[in-house]
Amino acid sequence: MGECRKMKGLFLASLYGELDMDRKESLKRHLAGCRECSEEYEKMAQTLMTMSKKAAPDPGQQFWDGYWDKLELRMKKDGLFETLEAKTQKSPRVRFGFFPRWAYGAAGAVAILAVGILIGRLFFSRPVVLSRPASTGTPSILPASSAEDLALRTSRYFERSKVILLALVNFDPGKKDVDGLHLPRQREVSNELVKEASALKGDLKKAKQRQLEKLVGDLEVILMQIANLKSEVDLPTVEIIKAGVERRDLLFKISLSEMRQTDKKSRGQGPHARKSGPIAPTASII
Amino acid sequence: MSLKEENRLTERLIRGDSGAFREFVETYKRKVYGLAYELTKDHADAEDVSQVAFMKVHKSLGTFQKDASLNSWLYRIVVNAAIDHIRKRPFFPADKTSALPGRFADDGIRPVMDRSGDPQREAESALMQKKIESALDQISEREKTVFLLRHYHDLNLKEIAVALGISLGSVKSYLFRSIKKIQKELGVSQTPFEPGG
Repeated sequence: MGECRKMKGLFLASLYGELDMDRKESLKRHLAGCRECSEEYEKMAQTLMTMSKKAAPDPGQQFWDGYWDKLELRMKKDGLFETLEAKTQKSPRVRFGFFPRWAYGAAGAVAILAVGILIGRLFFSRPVVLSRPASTGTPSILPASSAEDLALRTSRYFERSKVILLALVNFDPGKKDVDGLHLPRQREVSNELVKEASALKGDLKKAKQRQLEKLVGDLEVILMQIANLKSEVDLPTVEIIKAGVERRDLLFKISLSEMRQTDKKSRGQGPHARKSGPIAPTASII
Repeated sequence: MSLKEENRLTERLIRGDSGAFREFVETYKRKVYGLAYELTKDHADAEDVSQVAFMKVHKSLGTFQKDASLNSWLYRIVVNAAIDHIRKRPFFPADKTSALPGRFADDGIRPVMDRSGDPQREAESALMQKKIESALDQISEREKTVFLLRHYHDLNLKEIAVALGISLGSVKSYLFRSIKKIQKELGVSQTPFEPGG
């Protein structure tokens, strides 16, 4: 009886897969030899299986689509929507609390070195000539080579994202084989793009390409959803992601960006234009 | 979301990455709303509770411990927000007919269930939903919260203890009792036993 009581205490952890191998084995052995416990365990498992059939409440796609906007509006109304950067700056413990003491010393040394280099560059070297975009006349904060690099990176990022989005948007479970999505590869590429997004957004922000930055941000959300898709194709989630792509007009915006680039090339500004400045005209369309 | 991804998101949230909070909301909004709906049984209340919960998360990011579980912390906030909300609402609300189980049509909320087009299967599915709702109504709020967090929100027993601020033994006890009551309600015979914790 004492053994039964002890084993029944393991039922919950076992049913929810929280039992370690040793205890799992001893419970298995006990259930094999004890009919009463075995029946009890079976009934609980059956109950949980029935409860798993419970449907999740669903207020509809429209509700989910507008969820963030409503929350953001409410937070703004309540004066809560200060940037997270400002928030963490208010709480130095959060920013610095995780590092050991020696790290502060090292950081101080690096800071002094950086100040030294900065002073050296300011007073003992030629000033850096900053480029201007050819078409807008707006001063750029990036040197020409960085601007060109940024334009290429952004263009490549859009190109790779577009391939992923097109495969997903054109996917029709009724017509094509589910494997047609090549999900593992798309998840892998999406993961890579999500990782790249933060740095790219940061550079676009520095280059004051706000609209391109926003487009990369929107793509990041969708790509993250794709990267999080389960290995088996999760059709309802695929539909939700497709709806997100359409709602944000992502493919349209990418196409506009590409058209603008092509237009620039045909007007003879092509690679040279790109060398002379960031891709501001594209941003103005989007 | 895998543990690795959760850790990465937590780090970005703490670091103050401006896109991280939106990503966090997009990732958890369904779970948070789902739990809030189960606890309040009303769409408008659930929406309000879920928004309040996210706002509290935003406010409290500075106090979040990096090593703590994001899941436990978030669910603790949702449960507390729901309890606060339920306490504040009138005892006999005039417009809370939508709060009754099975009255999904009143607030526009429909459970995602069998939509195969087969009337018999759809009817069986609807009956099953009613039975499950009715079984959940037979257990206390505490037992129900523990059951919902373990069964539908995938929090392990220790995480539930942290989220609700109760002992692991209490979690086991509430969960065991809830399953036994549900079992009885669903028509599966019961044997008297309760674990020591």
